[in-house]
Amino acid sequence: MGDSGLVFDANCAPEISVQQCIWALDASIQRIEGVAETMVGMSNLLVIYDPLVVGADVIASALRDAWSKASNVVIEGKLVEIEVAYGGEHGPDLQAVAESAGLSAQEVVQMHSGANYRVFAVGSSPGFGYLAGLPQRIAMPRRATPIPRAEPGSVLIGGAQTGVTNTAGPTGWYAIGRTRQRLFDPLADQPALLAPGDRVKFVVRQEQDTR
Amino acid sequence: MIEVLAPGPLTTVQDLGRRGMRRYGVGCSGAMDSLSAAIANVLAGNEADAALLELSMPPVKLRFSVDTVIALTGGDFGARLDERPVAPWWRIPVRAGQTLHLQEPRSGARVYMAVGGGIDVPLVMGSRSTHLRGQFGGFEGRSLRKGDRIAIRQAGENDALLQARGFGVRSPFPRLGLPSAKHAPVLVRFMGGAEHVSFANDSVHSFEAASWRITPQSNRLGFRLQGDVPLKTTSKGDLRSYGVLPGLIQVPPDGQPIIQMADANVTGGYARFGSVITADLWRVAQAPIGASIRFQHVDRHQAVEALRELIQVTAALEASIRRALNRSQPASVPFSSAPQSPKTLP
Repeated sequence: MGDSGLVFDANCAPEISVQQCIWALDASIQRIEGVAETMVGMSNLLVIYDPLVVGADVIASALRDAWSKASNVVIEGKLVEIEVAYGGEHGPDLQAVAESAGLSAQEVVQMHSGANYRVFAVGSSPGFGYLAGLPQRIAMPRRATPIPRAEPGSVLIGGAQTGVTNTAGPTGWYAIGRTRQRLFDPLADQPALLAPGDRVKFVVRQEQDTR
Repeated sequence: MIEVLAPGPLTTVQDLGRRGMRRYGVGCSGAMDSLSAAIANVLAGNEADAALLELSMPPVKLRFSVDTVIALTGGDFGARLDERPVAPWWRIPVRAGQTLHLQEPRSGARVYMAVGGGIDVPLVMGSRSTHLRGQFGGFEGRSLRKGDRIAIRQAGENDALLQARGFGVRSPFPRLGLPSAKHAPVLVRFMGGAEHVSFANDSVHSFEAASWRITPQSNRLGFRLQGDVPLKTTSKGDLRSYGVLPGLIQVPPDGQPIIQMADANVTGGYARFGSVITADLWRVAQAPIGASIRFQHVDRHQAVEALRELIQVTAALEASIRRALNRSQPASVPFSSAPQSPKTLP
């Protein structure tokens, strides 16, 4: 990517076995002199480097070498439970997702909160985790035109992925609920609660608990 | 203190950006034109990455409540200190009570105002830059508003320097090849990207042949371009999310490219046509809305050599400014006599 970045792409669908190799690749490539920063994507890895310190060919061969050794590294990750108030003012798109799936709103909530998710990558916006594990039935193609603003804490579905946005901003995803938990704090030692490999469960919070 | 009398539509506190925070979903932010920002800081006697103001549109009016020194670089917004004009790439002492007024966009798209000692805002995630979407960093995580009072880190200037008249440096823009004619397209060099091969052949050709207009939807996140003939990709569907670096040229389904800029999200999913080379990012940043861009393909070697040249030009300019500042009486030129043609430092 330009003169200061190289993208390693496993060139396959994001599955946990592939993603585990990407995480391992991410860990090992940090040791190369001149590597400034990395960014885990979905079955790919962006390596940002100083081209006046190290050549692209050195980075590329280090990536190939590390990939060949990266196959068996497993990150267990921590378990994060996220309390969600689904539907109503908290999830204005719950009904639309239900209609698209041919389910009731209650069934969508049960499926979304019943699944086990893995954080495949952190990105897009601050602290946002790309979560894999959304039941196929409630996957929802992204909007053709993004809406200008989703509220912080919105629990979103976009394509076959789900996630929680921590900052207000435009999105092409659908908001089905909202959490009061802060998943991002720029002043904390670990600013983002979610890290690649973490496991996520959504827990239904009843409406009357909302203050 | 600097009191904001008129903030302009988007004036933010920036430095040279945040590093190493992408793993938390936090991109670099920082000055869009880091060349001008660094020179402004050095002119003001600061380290190159001190916090300063980035002005994206006049009118901006600031009143100083302390004696200090300021430097203006980048574009030319017709700055006046009280009634006296201040040329771009100029450093001048400021007295408490004086007002800096930037009134009209004459050239460029961003003006940097550095102040002796730097703007005093806390480091957040390793930088003083404003993260607008995350609402942190900079001044309260937002652009400046009327009535804001911005603190200055101690102005470490001695009396001799404060009393000295201002001096300036020649703009490095012409030397680095920015077209100077007012309506000439800005020439920007790019390298091919991951999906470059999946674009139809005529699209690859027309990308270089066409002029791309910078639309009003352009901002610190990205520049949205518009051309007469949209680019056609042969790749299908959404891409798997990947890491994004400023300079990335993405092509959404409508075929009108977007250049990702300093406040870009850290990941994206549109097809990657290529990337503006790092050495030309400042050139994009200084192109105003409505201006046109033309692209010229370069290979990796040429891109790295251009970056090396930019770093050398910047370092040489910084060194000559520092030499002048280290003399007790800087090589001073009365700005009233030659505001438009500052003398180059030895």
